[in-house]
Amino acid sequence: MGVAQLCPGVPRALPHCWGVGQAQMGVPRVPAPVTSFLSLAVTSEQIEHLHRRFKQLSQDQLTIRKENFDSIPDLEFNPIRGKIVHAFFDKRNLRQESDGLADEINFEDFLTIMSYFRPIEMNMDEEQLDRFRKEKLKFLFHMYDSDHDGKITLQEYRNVVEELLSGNPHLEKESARSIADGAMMEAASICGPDQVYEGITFEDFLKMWQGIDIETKMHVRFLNVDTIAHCY
Amino acid sequence: APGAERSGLGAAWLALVIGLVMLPSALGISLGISEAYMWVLVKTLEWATIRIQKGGYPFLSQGIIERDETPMEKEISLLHRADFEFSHIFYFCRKGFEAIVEDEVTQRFSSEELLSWNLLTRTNVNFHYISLRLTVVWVIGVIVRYCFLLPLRFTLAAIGITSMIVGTTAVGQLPNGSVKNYLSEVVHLTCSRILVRALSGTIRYHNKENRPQKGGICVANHTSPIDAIILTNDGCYAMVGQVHGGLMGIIQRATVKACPHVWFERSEIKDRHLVTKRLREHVADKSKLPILIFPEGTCINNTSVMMFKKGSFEIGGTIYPVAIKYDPQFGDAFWNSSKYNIVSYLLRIMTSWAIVCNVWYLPPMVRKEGEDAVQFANRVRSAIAHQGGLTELPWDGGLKRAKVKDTFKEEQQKNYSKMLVRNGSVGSLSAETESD
Repeated sequence: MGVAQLCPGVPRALPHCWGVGQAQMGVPRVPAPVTSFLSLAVTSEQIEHLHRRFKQLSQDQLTIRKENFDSIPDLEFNPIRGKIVHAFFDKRNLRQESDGLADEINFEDFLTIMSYFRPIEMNMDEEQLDRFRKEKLKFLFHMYDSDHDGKITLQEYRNVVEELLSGNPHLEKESARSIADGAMMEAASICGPDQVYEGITFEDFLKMWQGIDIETKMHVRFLNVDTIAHCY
Repeated sequence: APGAERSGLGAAWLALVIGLVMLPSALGISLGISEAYMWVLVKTLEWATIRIQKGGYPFLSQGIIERDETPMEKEISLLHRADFEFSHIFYFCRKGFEAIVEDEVTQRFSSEELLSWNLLTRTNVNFHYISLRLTVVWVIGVIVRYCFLLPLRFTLAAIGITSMIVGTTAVGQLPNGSVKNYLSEVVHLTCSRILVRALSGTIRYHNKENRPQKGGICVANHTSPIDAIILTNDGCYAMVGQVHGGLMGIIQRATVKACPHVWFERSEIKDRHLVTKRLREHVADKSKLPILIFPEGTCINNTSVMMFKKGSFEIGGTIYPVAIKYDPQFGDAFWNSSKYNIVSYLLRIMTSWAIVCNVWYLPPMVRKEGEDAVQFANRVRSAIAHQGGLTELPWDGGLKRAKVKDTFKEEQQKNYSKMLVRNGSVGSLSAETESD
């Protein structure tokens, strides 16, 4: 019984307009397992929005595959499109014990990935903020660490740079390489040169970002759905 | 005797049709029936809206996420003092997620969402059961729409189409001349008006002084197949289009006898030069009616105007832009051709409350010196979008079915690399790479 039960259940059981009736029938509007997502200021309306989006992407199936992301024209612009889509299927991000890639994800997984981009709230304490930040950085770390070995090597970093610059045919591989090397040297100055040679671990990665505000850069903020007085 | 009764009934029905439908349409006057209906409708919907608000249910906003419109360069420079860093990935990552949650383009290919429920089942996506009274009104609405309005509208539409075919064929027999043209205009206008009544259409035309003149080209934004009827309700145009089969084909063949519409065979329409040549010839003849073109090429949901295909703007002549904005509260005119076929679409239209729209005639435009077709097209598009209160999107309506063109994608990525080069982070690059 997870979120997958929630929304597919509602439209099929009754016309969607009789939402209140559902509650009376003892079917909770939002089930417990989604607490991690709900403990933030995300309302059930926003979950419904996301669910509709999910259905649109999955073309009314219960799961999404990589191919479904092809239907988003806005995403085509993005040079790291491949990595972003990959992140949705990365089992490390899906909080599953196993490693590797999932073939398809359901709505609950979709929400789990979206939760990495939730904005900070006013009432978070130190410990929550710290955990929050670590989660976001972990997500980013997984994006770089494509072979899942827990370390970002120079080669992996170069791959990311190449992808970011892939749109410009004039930029040769050499230039991409020199950019990557420059950035790794900067990382070396923070972490210590030995680390860079073997690969940057997550601890080093955290160190690199110390003191830099990333929380406000890595979030997607939902608009407030207020009651608008509308007279006709 | 039953025979006499039937003929008496037939005569009465005929008198009714001519008196209530044909004569007023031909003369362009209104009997006030539509107005009375609209008044009742508006009152009912106002009442419904108040009840929904009292129920305290939230309304929808236009988008669901707040987008940061900071330009790419500013945002990346804010992230870190160094030129290229791990940080650049933040920007693209966030943009990617925003696109996944909500993308601007596919939104336009589904119907506009209403701020308040208009008592049609099909729009009841976000609103919940509110009160018994509202439900009762809704049920009455269903009965009225399906059992009363639908047959009435269907009859009117049948009358309209039949008159069109019969009338234009009759006029087509006459020798060419001013009498023929005049009668052709009368027939077209009358039938158009009947068809508008068949949809319970309430149309307001603004700036009639800018109405398209002969020898000009009228361009408008496209939302539905009804657009043509909306415009021909107020003037005569030469239609441009592909020859179809079936009923549409019959109408096309009949009307072209009376009035020089431009119908292309399927094979001809692929040849752009041929199309442009024929249209140019038509436009050059100043005695011919203005041609009507929808440059978007496909139906958009009436919240935005997509890319205008430049073909229409290469013909020359004066362009008369027209903006059409439907009011979705009374009925959604948008044809989502990937979801509904034409028959179900017409059924939906005929069981809506009404089709209410505003039409603005914009001042004529000509191509300026040194302006190419694409720039001219964009200029016209801006004018239309501005007047109709629609947003402008640089996207191609063809995206409904096809994928983003590669050239488009590369633009963004080129911008990003250019930015890097400018910041001097790629110090070892030679000057050649700046050549684009």
